Amino acid sequence: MALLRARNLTVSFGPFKAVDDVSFRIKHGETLCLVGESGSGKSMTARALMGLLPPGAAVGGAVSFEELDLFRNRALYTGHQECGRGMAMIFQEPMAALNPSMTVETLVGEAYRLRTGLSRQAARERICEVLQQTGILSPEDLLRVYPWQLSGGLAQRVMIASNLILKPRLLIADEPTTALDVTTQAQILSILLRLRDQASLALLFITHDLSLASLMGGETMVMKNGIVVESGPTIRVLEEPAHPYTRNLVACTPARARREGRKRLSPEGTS
Amino acid sequence: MSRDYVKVRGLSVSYLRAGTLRKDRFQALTKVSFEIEHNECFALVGESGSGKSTVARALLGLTRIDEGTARIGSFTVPGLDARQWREFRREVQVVFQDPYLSLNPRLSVGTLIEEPLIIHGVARAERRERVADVVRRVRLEPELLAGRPAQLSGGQRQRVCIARALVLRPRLLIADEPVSALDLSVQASIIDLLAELKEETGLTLLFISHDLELVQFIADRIGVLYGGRLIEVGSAAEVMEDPLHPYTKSLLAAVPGRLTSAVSQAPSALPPRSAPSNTGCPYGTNCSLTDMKCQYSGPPLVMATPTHRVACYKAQAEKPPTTIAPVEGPLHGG
Repeated sequence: MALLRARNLTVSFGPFKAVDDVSFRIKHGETLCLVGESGSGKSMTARALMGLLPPGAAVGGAVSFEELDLFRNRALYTGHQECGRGMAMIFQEPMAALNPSMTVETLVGEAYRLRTGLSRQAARERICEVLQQTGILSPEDLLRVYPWQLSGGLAQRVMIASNLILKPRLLIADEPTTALDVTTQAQILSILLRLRDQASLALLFITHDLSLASLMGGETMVMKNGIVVESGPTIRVLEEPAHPYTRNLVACTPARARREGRKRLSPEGTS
Repeated sequence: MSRDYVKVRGLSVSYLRAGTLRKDRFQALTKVSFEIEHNECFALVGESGSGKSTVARALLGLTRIDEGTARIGSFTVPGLDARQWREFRREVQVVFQDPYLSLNPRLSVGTLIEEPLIIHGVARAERRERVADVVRRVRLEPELLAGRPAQLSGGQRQRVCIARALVLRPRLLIADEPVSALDLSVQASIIDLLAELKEETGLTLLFISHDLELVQFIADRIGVLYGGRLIEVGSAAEVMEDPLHPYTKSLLAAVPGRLTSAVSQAPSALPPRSAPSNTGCPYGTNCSLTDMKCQYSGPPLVMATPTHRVACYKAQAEKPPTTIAPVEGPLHGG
């Protein structure tokens, strides 16, 4: 049984279709990588799932999460119930996504306390627990800290923790490491992989970087201009890309150029 | 007379910390020295906050230099007067990271490219010729010249920025993260373009990037910055194939294309984010090899091979240097 199933998902702004007839499914504890360049519609797909589309956007098709039809049951543009509980999302810029006037304790615990009605004191234990799950060794020291005092990697961990606290089954990560340094990126990715394996969290991992998709494994879906041009097991898509667009995208990565011993980054004949 | 076109010696830069009233300064660069030969591409690599952009800003005269000098051709920064700065800017040009922010949206693309020539008093007939020439070189469609930056894609905008920089026929181009705002396929074409321009026009390049995997496609030599210090310098092949500094090793190991499968070998514990101490090794607190000596005095940059230098006691012990020469000494043997 699929955890999330999108059928003929379409997001349009007037006549312009940002996402055009996209279908996919994500199973429990599995990864779907959504790869594409800017303007391919990958973020709009994620936002449609979360009910976070900008004003003026119209959706078509159907999305079901744990058999619940999201588009029919909830008013989409106000954010649906599953948003933040069954399904959570982290963004590219952790600094921009965290309220600078709230402490880490409030940021991580806010949704949890709203849902459970627990006191600050009672919620603290759970807050520390999720912070620890993101690799923070002494979470107590972080509780009174403000986001602007955090490094990029720490801010992204806090972001992940604030999503984990409600035990979501699906985490949507929209370019979660693009703003981070490579060594920090490696740490954040390993946290996501560990959560997937240990907490059986399904991941929708959005990236423009194919080499990251290869690390995340699972299935990969390549988008261009709102359309899915290729999809399949990540290894197959990266090693034997069938679509010319995917082939070019794979060939452009420095890692691939190095492996092929090429002197130039652009594949032959496209420069 | 050395063949070096750029010679940076003991460059130190500090900034006043934001939001502090005290004379509390952040040491962005500490005694950075390197040189770039004619028609060479030198890449400075480092993570955010390592000081790589500060090097560019210091060389361009955009920030105050506390200590040290940078000689570029016949100019020595700091210490230029207004007239010399003008001449300097004919010879040294820059391309910034974000092509969306560095072009005036109200000017046409043609005017944007022509503007430096107007400022430097080039006659109208020659201007037209040089604009046409540079537009061809950066492979920009001539039809685009009448349009505004808003009508261009990210890659086209960065080509306009490169054209603007090259229209003065500079000898040194400083490129500060020129592709990190661009898509992968566009990134590839811009990198290849810069490599080609370097070959065709004899340009010298200072290429600043956070992406070690990327710079090998353009750099002849690579310098790695950490905590405002240059910790390793060598030919591109040496740094990529045989990195000596533990930080360079960890940086290479973290490159997604080089991580084999799971990322599990990456530390999941939090690295202590203490400010690099002024005396010890800047990488000290994050380094697994660190000991008392590292904390007590920062290792100097010494030669491991004639072309490869590293600032790490452990790496030096592991790979005994052929010649121990302090960084301030001659680097090309005279």
